Amino acid sequence: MNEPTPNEQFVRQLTECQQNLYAYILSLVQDVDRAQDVLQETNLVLWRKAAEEPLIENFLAWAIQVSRYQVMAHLRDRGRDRHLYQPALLELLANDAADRLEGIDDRRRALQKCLGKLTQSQRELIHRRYARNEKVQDIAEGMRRPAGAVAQKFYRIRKSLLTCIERTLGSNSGTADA
Amino acid sequence: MNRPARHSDDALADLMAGVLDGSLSDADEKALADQLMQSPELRQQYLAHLELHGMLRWSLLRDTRALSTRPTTAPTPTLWRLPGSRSVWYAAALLLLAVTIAAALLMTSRPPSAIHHQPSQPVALLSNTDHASWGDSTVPTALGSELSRGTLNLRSGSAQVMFSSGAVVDIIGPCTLHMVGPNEARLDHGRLAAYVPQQARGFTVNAANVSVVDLGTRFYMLAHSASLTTVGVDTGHVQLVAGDIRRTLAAGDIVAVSGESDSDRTLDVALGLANSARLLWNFDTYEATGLDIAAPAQLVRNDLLGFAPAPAGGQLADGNALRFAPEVVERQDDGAGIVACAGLLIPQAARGGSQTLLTRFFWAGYADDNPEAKMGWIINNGLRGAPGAAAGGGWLLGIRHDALSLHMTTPAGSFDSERLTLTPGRWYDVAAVFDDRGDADPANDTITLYLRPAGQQQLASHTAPRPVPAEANPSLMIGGESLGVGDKNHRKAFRGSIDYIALWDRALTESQLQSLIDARP
Repeated sequence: MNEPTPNEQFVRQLTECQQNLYAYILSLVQDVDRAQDVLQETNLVLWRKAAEEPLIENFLAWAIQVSRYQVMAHLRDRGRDRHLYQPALLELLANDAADRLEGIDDRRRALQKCLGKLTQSQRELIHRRYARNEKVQDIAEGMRRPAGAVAQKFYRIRKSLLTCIERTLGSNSGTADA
Repeated sequence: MNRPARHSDDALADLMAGVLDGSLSDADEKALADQLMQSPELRQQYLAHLELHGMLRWSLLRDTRALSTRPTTAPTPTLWRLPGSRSVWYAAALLLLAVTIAAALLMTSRPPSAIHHQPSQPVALLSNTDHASWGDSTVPTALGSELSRGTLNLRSGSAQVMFSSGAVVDIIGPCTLHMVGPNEARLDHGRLAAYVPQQARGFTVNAANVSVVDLGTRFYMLAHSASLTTVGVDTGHVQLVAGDIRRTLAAGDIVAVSGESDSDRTLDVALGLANSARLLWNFDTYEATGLDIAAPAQLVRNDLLGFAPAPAGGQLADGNALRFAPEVVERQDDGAGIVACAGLLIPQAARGGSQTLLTRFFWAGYADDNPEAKMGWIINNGLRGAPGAAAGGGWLLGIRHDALSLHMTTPAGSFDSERLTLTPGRWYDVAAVFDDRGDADPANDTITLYLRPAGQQQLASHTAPRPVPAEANPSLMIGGESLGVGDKNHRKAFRGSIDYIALWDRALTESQLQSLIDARP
């Protein structure tokens, strides 16, 4: 296999860090569509900057830094009146979120296992919410349940997934009767 | 505020729901922001939920976003993950295409059919490889290669081909894929998964005995042989064409196309097959409180049950397996063990008549090595020993003297199947199909066993010398012939792990079973 050209190298790094960039941006902007917009803006900036600076040692750190500026710029224009977007809080969250990136790949792998451990009804809810992109309100109406109760249910599922992820990463996996 | 008030779980649940749905009131948002400013612990919880929300969104929301019609009028590096674990490279391919192939193929609004290609012109791009080992191929196999019409022969590993129409195909080795045109491929053998965005609607994959025309979707194909192809649809629709047969398949459909010629070709539609099982346990659930087995199953000696990782693959396999660890609690003077046999007891669940059992299990050896006890029954369908065993008879399926074995007892006598050899320390797929042909004639009943270690298959087919028991309504047991502690049938406890066990009240066909067992690409 040929050694990737610098362009390919950049594309590879850019694609490899997309999930982590998205997670980072989402933790600051909260809204999934807005996070996607910022991610695209960030990609554009990275793309342009890569031409000026072809050799980047720590690509993810650089990309995170760029995305941080993009988030701030995005929210400066669109989120003046939001309490969760106040600069001092964003600064704290941006630092914490950057710290969290260290173990995110492990957590993502653990999540895949943990999804398999959900009950059928939990899986269906997660599927509707995330794979079919249904709103909690719509799911609740379909279930003839109050939206608050369904939102609580999602919270519990997420919490159990987080617990499972933590447990998975905290323990060595066993072998199957071998 | 000197000391941040701790959010109750319910309050945090409401706030997180508001954050994630954008429905947070101004007052709640302010309260949350204040708390986040002051509590590093709360910030971690908050970020953990958002991170999880993002990961779920990213990994599960695939097609709706990938199919969205955001304009692509310029080579904009808009990246979004496609279905499939390696499909971030679709985005890379978009970029590479945009830069290296004059963008026109992808970014033009011209429909694919309007693009005229000469035979030597590239029709696709090799957009990703993962541990790929290539056999004789007529096109270049270096990552990023432009592919003209020709053949890719992937021995092992996986690769991704992006057609110039925008259709993306993942292939898993061993696989032979022929690029027929900018929006058409041929699968000679092996597995592929295709993602077809709207602009490539009409993307066609031909196999030996079937063609699949995509209508904007995600589907997969497994070409087993010239006479057997499995097609499954994940999202959207495809048009399936097999000789004179045309059928539109929708998400969730799985079809096995068998036969080579028009006269013998059949479609075995396994619509929602996995969901149609009468009983299905896949043992994936793990709660902190322990085993969470859906009622009305009862656990017997659950101290000897646990979870073990299960191999991936198949429609039913996933996540955990249930581990059975029976133990000899005492050895008697004559050497016979007193065994504690663990398992599941499901009252009133045994059945007679046509039915199918499908399971994937790992056999770890016998519970008791005493020569007289060299058995480990996986399931007891109403045979003696099961509480309330019916006079109509029943059957056991499991391991007996190093072989898969079926034992059946009816009022007319007993029957033991041909034995299919097993080795401890391996996973096996096993199916038992009882077919009473839906009539009252016991002479034409059949019992068929399938045993499939990875890569090969054994088959034992019988005309049942005894009629398939017609009546049975006592308990079904999983894990042994008799659950609990004892020195007789309890010694025939199953030792190993069961990934899943499913029962249908009808006789499934071989191709239906194959589609359930086969791993998706």
